[in-house]
Amino acid sequence: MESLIIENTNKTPRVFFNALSGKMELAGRSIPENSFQFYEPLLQWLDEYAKNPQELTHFTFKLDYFNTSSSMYILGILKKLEKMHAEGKKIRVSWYYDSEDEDMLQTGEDLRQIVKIPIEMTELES
Amino acid sequence: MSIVDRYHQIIQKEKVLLAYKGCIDGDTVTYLVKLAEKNVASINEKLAIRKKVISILVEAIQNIVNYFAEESLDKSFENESFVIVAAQQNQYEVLVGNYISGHRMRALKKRIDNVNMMSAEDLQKVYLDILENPKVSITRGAGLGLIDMARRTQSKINYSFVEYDQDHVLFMMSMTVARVKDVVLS
Repeated sequence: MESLIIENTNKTPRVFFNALSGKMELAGRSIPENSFQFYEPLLQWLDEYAKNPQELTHFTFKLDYFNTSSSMYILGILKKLEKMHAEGKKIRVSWYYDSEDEDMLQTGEDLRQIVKIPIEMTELES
Repeated sequence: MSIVDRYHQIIQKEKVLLAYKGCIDGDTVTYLVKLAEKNVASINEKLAIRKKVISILVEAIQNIVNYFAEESLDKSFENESFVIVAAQQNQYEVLVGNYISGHRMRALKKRIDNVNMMSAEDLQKVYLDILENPKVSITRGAGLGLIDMARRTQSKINYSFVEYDQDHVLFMMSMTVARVKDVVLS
């Protein structure tokens, strides 16, 4: 399976989904007007990956900020990881937030309430 | 003070970090956000507060983009959209305005009034509910935008409707973020 790599733009985050290592990362800002257009291919890729995942899948979120329509797709990604987790796959999720950014920490904690997978909160020094 | 008077006050007396009037589309959003980030970054302010201001700005102007994507008004009305980000002694303010169809006014007023009546805990609960069960079209903000802005401001959303004619109303909305550090007003 091919990896999915998309460079960041002014409105969309960098996507680095490595099918071989099971490491995935979403980094930067996510404020597209049309979140569906950006996130749908990511979700489809994850569906494909979930059919034959690596021993450990490690998903890292390193987001500066995102709009509300993106937040639904970020939850969509976590739901897909949750499903893999429920099927017995090993999943690790890291949620990075800037040490001064309590909103991003709060968002991570909000998402942690919704999905039943362990999400590690990691502080970035600002 | 009416929101209309506030507009004049901001323009004349406060530190304006961003002011724009004209059509707001996807491209404009890119430029406005870039410019706002640059100007907001120049303030001696806590990162979280700066991000709050930018997040509210993004949500507010994308609301305008989404509105005109769904409902087309005469171009002359679309060109009257505006956004101002200003720094004041105790807070930052994001003020946006755009024309809407007159028949939309009642429903919009009700939505904002509902959001304004919610406590921080209510907002948090409703935010998580909608996030988990988006009722509206998945390509759009699903009504989450207003709630998200209200959560971030931690104050009420101030708004005003100025009737232009039977079919067109200027909708203005203002949100504030309390400042943490001193702002030097030039």
